[in-house]
Amino acid sequence: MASEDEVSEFLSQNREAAAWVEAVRGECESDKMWRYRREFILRNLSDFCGPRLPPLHSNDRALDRVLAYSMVWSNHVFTGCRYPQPVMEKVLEMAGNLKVKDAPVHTCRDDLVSKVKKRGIASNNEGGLEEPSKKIKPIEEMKVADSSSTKIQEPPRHETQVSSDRDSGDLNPCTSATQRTDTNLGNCETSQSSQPVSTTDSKPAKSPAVAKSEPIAPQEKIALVEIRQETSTKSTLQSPIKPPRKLTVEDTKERQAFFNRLYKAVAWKLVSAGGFSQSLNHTELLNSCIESLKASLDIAFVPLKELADLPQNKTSQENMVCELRCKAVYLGMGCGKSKDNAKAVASREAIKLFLKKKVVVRICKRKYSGRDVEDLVLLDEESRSVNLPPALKNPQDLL
Amino acid sequence: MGVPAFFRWLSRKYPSIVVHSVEEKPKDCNGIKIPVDTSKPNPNEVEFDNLYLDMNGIIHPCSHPEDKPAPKSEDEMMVAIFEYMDRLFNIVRPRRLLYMAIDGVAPRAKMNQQRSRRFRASKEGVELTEEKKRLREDVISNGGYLPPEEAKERFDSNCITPGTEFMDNLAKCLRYYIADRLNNDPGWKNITVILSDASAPGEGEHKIMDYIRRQRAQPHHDPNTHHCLCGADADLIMLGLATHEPFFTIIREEFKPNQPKPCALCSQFGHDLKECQGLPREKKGEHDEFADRPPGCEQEFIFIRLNVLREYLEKELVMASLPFPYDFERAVDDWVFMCFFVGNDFLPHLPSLEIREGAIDRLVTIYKNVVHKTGGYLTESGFVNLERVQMIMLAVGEVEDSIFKKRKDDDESFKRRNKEKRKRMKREKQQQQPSFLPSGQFAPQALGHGNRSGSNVVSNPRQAAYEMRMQNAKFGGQDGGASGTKRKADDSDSEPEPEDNIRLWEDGWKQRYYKNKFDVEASDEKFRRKVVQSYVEGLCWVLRYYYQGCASWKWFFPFHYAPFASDFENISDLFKDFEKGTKPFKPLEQLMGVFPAASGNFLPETWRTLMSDPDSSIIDFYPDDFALDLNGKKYAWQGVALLPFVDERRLRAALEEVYPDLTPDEMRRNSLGGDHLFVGKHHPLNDFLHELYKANSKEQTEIPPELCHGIQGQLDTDEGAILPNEVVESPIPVLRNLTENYSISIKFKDPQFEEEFVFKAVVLKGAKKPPITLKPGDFEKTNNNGRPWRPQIGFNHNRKSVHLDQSSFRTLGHVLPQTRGPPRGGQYSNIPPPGAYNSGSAYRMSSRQPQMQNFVTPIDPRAQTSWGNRPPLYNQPPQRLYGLMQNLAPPFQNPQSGQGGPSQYYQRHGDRNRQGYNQGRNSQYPPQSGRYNWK
Repeated sequence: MASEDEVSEFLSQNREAAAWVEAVRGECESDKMWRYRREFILRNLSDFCGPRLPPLHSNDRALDRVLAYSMVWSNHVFTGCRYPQPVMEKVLEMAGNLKVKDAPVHTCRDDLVSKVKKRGIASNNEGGLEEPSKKIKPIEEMKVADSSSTKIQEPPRHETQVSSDRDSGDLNPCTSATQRTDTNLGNCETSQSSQPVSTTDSKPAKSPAVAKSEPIAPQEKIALVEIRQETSTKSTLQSPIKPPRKLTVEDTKERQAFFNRLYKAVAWKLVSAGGFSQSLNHTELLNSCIESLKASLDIAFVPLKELADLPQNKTSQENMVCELRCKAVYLGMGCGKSKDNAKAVASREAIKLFLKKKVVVRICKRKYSGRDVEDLVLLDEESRSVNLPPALKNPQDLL
Repeated sequence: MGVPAFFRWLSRKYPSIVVHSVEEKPKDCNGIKIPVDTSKPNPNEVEFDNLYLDMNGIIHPCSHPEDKPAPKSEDEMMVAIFEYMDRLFNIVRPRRLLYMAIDGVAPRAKMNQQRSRRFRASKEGVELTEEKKRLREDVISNGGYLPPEEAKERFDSNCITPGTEFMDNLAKCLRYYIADRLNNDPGWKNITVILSDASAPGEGEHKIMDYIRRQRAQPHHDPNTHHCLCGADADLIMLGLATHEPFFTIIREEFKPNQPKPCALCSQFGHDLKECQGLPREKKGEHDEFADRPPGCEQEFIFIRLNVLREYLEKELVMASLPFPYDFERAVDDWVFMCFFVGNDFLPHLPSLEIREGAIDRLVTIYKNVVHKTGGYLTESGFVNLERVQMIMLAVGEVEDSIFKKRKDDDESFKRRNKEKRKRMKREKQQQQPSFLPSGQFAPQALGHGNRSGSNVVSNPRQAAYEMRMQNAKFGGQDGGASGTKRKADDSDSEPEPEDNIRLWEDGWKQRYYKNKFDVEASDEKFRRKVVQSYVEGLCWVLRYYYQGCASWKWFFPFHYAPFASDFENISDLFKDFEKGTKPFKPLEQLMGVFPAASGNFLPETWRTLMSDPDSSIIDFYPDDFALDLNGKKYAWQGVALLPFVDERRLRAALEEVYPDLTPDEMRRNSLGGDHLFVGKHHPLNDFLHELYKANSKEQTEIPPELCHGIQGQLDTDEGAILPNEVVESPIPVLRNLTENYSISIKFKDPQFEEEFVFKAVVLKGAKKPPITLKPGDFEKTNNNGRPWRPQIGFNHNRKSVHLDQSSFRTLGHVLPQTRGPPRGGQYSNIPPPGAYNSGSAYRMSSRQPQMQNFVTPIDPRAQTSWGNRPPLYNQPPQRLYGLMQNLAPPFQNPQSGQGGPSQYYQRHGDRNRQGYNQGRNSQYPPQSGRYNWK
């Protein structure tokens, strides 16, 4: 909020500017929204309109552009709108380190709908819009940088600082965070992630987003700095971070053999245990079977409230989610009051799979932190469409 | 009006307002269709003078129908529109005037709703195409067959917005249609036609209202004109009441839930898009005559008689011992006004007033209590008395808290009941299955499959039986496990509820509401006041819009949510008047205001760029995606789309730069036009108009009232007019040019009044009170010669019932099976394959067909004999039976279907009920992709 004080100080010293900026306030903007947007406008005004305040109501194009960007930013932060990527990039750049601590949380229409339909939805930006922005960006960025230091005496920005800001935004992407600390890039990501996974041309541009959302902290910052530099030198195409690996049939075939063996092992184990029953220790059973095949059971836990895709009111007291994987293949998920509970439920679900005629490894789309990713999933042969819960770990990391 | 539930509520509460239409169908004689002569008396036993068509209610279902495959080209679409209008004309048979109104540029207040619809429609369209593409690949890779993809692009329903080429084309087609019918249809011989196309500003229904209002205000108007307005919006009912015309009827399609829909991929009925397997098409009917639609599902029309509604209201709104004179007309206006609180197109509804919770009844009760204290009515001719409204609002505010608590309770008990019911169903279902099924080589097999593999021979039966026994013993626990799974699934059945962090039923709801919906603290009195002020302005604007016309083209409600009723404190000084002299947007400007960037193809190149260029000065109007707040509702399409509002100044400023890029044709499309009047050869006005053209008159001329049933207005010659003895070119290749044209068209302008003129909301002098339809409350007390009350069915009180005598039943029995329906292909051919009932929506189709065939073809020989010998067997009113045969659409189970039809019929019935129940109280209908809610 330090910068906000600066703004009010600046305005109290500069009556003319204060009156001027009040005139562009939206009629029905709340005080909070306006405070932030006012700062956004003041910061960027001189870049667009020169050092002097443009006359009001003159349909000055430069001024209108600033206003438009301020609205884009405000709509994005406060109302949850997403704009085409080039617009988003530009606006977030203009916002600089203007941070909103307590922005409301919204669910976007695409997320809402795709949550219902459980499938990837392309947002309809055609990608053709990216070129013009790329041309302009470096210049604009410089302008932003020096304007912000001249106009309102804000601390000079460093690349690292910005990137760490973004970093914190990462951990709380727009849809899942109950409270956002930073809206800068966390949102940018989610807007990117609504793009189709399948279209090939949009992929390179998307790679930073995918890489960033990995919850590995230490390398993260370095990667981010790199990305940052890239975007400024507009060479997103040669990203050092590998693009998401496309899962192929080979991946499933590779693993199918193992799971066939596991199927047999579990079946035998069950027979020796006197058949499936609720009273069995499913975790132990599963684990011993997997270990007998020289593999290991990967168990991941996440508190339920961090999985934004799940209905929160339903299971308020069940607060741990457990995901079981083996050889990067998803076996099952469970939810319980404690980790042990969740694990037991998850392994029971997994064992149930092995009661069916045959198990197969398939590539399925599922959610991971609000976007669709491909994942390897162990399924009953006969099941057709499955509603998979969102993944706890990024399947891409596990490969 | 954005209240789909309103009509449902109304028709349940006041059932007699609905009358089913009688429609005479064109007859088929040796393969030639003989059109119906609409100059004959109306089969509905009522004569209408004027028919008004709210064309958008026709264009939408014709261009992207939900119950049949979409038309393949724009031409087909136009022909479908023509046919639809012919149908309506045939049912209503107006004698004086046909008024067609297409939505023009709407007031700013409506723009936000339009925006939200178009942004959603565009997204849904893209999603549907994608899903279709995906499924198409799936089906084809599985060896299914699908009809080749049509070459044409996906029809974007967004093009039904004024200013697009489509609308321009539509106007041309309609002019051709009018000219054609005026020349060739005897029913059209004497009527005046007015076409108000998309270039004339205003929403269709409001243009119609404006017309009626202005005609009423001029001295030559016939106060007993019988109006009939076509359209499905609930607000037409309000509008009709607001006219205070004694004879006003609304005609709309009857809504039948759960109609079968064709699959979007293969256009066949009986399955969903998702279940499409690309199977070859089955022949429908003997000669494939039912190819395009399942038999008997043509939409039927119902009339809504507003004079009956007025009768009901008269009973309901009666108030004794008022401190001021009671005036029913004013009470009706207040009722209309209160209906706005519950929802309208221009304002979000108050959170505490939900139509499904009887909000209107509650309001009426409160109103009757409060009006004693108010000292007068809430409204007068469309002007609101805010002090009195405040009293009503605060009275609602007092009970707000308990409403929210009750809502929560109801919701929970509903959920509980639902859950129990589901459990019960599941149990019942399980009981129907055999408890034990032998497996392996003893497994039951379908008859007639033959010994394909030879594995049918049972080998080593003892050993197998032993194994089975052992297996059962071993996996005895498995059963328990399986049922455990079931229970688990049962619990998770309850769909994930949207999270509700407002919790209106808990203390502090107001703070939470303002914090969550507006992102302001409840202490921010200024902001709350602002919301209330806007809402009050909105109420004034809406009422004025209904009673006087658009007060301000600029005004709009600048929030996404409504305040609480209890916030309406001291509102009497919150509103003075609207800005005068505001102008509507130009059509292309409005397109910029309502379209998402994805629909930019309807706009000129440079205009389109403004929607997507990152440097555009209005880029903030066009987000790719937007937040959707379910706001306590269940489905995405019910939610509130949080779209940014359009800044008019910035929009106009940005457009100024691209205006020079318009081509002359685009400039023409962008201009605001007016209405056109058409008459045929025999109309008394024809010669008059002809003279105007001959004299080359350039000034506006009044219509001589005696020539046109007292219709008034100003005429002005039109350059592109349709003139007698000039060829009218057909805009559609499949239709021929009109070489012998005698109709004439001219520009028409409604009677003009001074700006300060107030249209009085009263019954005109000389208006007759329509005969009563409802049973008078004191009927038993009055002397009726001992006759019981006979309820009225239809329009005519003294309707003669038609009786069939023995000989006609004999004739029917002889004639029907031969001329109608498929041949008797034996009893079995009608029985659907087993399992068809369980496979999701497939059952609808298969069960519908046999049901119908059974009806037209008496299968049971006994039925046939009884047909001839014992006519009294049919103890239903005969004419009803007759109507059924004519329409081939038995909406209820007829006595015969039980005989030949499948015995699961009842189960099917139950199924349907269950479905309706499960949908939950918060949802009107199951979500439909591409569903378009006009108004």
